Amino acid sequence: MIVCPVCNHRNRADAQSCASCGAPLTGFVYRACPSCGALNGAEQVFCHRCLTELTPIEELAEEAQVQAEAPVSEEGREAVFEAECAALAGEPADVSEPSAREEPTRAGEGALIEVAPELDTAAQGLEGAPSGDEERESQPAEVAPPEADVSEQTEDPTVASEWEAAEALEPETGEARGAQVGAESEAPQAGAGEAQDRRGEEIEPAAPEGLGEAAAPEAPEPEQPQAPQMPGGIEVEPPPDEAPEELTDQDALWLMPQEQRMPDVLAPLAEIEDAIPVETVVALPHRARPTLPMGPSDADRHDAELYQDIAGAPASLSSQGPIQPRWPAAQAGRVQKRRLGSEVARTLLWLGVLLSGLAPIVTGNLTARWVQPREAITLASDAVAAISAEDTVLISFDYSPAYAGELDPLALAVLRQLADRSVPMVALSTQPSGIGSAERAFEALARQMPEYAYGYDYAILGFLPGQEVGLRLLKVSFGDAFSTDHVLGQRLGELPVTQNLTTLEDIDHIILLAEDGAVARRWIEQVQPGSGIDLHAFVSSRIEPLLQPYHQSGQIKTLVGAANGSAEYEIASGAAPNALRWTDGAALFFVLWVIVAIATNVVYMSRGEPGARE
Amino acid sequence: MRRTLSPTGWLAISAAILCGVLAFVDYVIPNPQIDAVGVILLDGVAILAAFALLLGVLNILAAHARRVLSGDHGRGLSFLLIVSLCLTLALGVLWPSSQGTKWIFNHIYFPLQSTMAALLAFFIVNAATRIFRLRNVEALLLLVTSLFLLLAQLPFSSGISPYLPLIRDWVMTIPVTAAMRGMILGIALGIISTSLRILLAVDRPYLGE
Repeated sequence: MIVCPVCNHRNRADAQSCASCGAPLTGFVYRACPSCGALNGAEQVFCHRCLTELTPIEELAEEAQVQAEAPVSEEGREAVFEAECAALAGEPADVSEPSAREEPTRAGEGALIEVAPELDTAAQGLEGAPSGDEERESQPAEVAPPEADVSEQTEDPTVASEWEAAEALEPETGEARGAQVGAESEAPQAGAGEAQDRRGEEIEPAAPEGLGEAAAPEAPEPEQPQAPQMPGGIEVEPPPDEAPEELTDQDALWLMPQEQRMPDVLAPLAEIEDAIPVETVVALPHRARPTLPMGPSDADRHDAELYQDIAGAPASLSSQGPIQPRWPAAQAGRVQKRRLGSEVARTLLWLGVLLSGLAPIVTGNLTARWVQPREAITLASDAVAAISAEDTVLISFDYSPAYAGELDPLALAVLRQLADRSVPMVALSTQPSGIGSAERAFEALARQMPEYAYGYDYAILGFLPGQEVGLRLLKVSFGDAFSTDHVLGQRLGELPVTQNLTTLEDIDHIILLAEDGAVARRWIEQVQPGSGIDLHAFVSSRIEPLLQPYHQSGQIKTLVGAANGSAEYEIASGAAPNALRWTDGAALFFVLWVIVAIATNVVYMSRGEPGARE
Repeated sequence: MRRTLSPTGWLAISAAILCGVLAFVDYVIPNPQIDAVGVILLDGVAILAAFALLLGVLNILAAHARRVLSGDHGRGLSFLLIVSLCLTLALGVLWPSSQGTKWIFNHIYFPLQSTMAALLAFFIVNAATRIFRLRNVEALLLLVTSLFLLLAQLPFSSGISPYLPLIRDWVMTIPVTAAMRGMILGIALGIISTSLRILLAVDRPYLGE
């Protein structure tokens, strides 16, 4: 529907002139959306409110041209217009029975005429909105001329001519003007009149959302239509005797002729260059309403509870105690019960770990009788046993006290095996704490074999700094790496066991006791290549897989993992049982793991926690 | 875009490239003259490493002394750290192999380190309660594999079944070795690439780039 730029009357989409004031509709400023009734600019392709596609202007012109040329009956045109109005009002168009339609209030029509003198004020202030049914019906009630015959009012194509005639009459008052127009319209065609009534009512759809009180449609000033002004926050005072309805800023904008919109819109911003036109912003389509987010799923609740348990766990050094989570009252009891159960289970679990570590004290080596050395362990023991008393062995204690529980028994077994054949040993460490491990091991050996003397049978060189560089220096210049020993502080040449050591080539075997794979690789990469020295690795089980390729390629002659190989090596080498005493603990720890695996899944399945069904 | 190098920067780059090439040549070519130069470089690096360790110790002292003097939270522990560090340092420097040094190592350092390592057992078991939940097929595979390998790693596994040690050796020899070989090759290639970048001055860690 095309809204007349002069009188704001809503006309058919194919109308060439306004049915109310007769003003030409070419170059119209805005039009109503056939779906929601919102006012949109002439250039818009989609409704700015409901995004309904609007008929392009060119098609409207073509349709108008076609309809102008085609011999369409008055009834047909009326029927089309009625259907359009019905769609706009949301009512089924009753084209077949024009007589059954409701008669619009003549006041509406009268209002169009009666307030014509007020057009200037309203156009200037632009405070009214295109009225809806209610506003237009209420307005006419105030200004309806008593002598106007509403039921007989018509609106047909000849109205334009009537308006032209009315303009030439120059009525003194609005009422006289309305009566004059009403009198001139008292000879309607029967069907057209009723259709006009029906149409007159349906022309005025419900007021668009967000609009204020709609102003009464006002008749245009026949002499000079006033240039409307953009409110833009500027309030225009209504005439003293009859204040027009206030228009919202948005609708006021649509009421402005397009050619006058821009300058007036920017009037307050006249001094500002390159101001963005308001219509560009207003014409943007609205975003679709976002869908409401769904509630949390069961998996989300489970993850949230898990996070809450972890976050609420008390910190070991915290003096404030655990952070108490806030749960809804309905869930507080269930959560509290579950947390208590988790606390009890965790306590029992830790007691199980403690008991598995202490159990060997009381079990008496129940599982030691089942320990049988594997072939690889036997070969390793034989390789160490093949070292003669004429060979000098360099032992590197590259493990910290954290792994002493795992590597000390194996180290002691190797030392004992070498000491039994009086093999001279020289110890060092590339770790600062390794020297302490070396001293502990040799002190334990000395308690077992008092005849094994320091300086004659073994010596501790000390800490070798620099990692790769230190090992490289050890290989290139042994004397530069160590000038004195660690225990006595004497020069290496003064000790019987080290007096003949000048370079690394004077060493026949290297025994590596390491906890870290990087340390082992340093020895393999920096010392072993090109030296021809046998490298025997007795390492933590954690890094045993890492050194398997070197063992299979021959770079490491012997490879033993301490956790499971210590007990087997003690049996294979005949050393005093140290690791053998703790095999019961390993067995109980394995049983604990099985219990944990079973109990965890029983509880997990019984709770039906999310994720169990994944 | 890198900034323009100053003469000092160019000098540093030249020295780094020269030393890197010398060390590489010393490693590859057995020549007495080159070996002598290599020994000089290695001695210098060893001395620098020792001083780097000393620098780290001084940094720790400064950080904790700052906390003690400012009265921040935890100043008591910082004071304890400073006292223990200075005492151990004095004993180690003045009396390297004295009974006091050994006593500190055997009765303080060794038990603390062992205790920290023992706590891992508790944390691992606690983590197992969450890992062993059979949420999917992968969790089931993890559970079965871990339990089986634990059983095979026991010292007395041969007493349970004579096949367990054989299976354990096979796993170590074939699949584990294959995987570790690939990993070691990747590490080696990465080391070669990084070394070349430093030798060719593409990466300049000594200039802070």
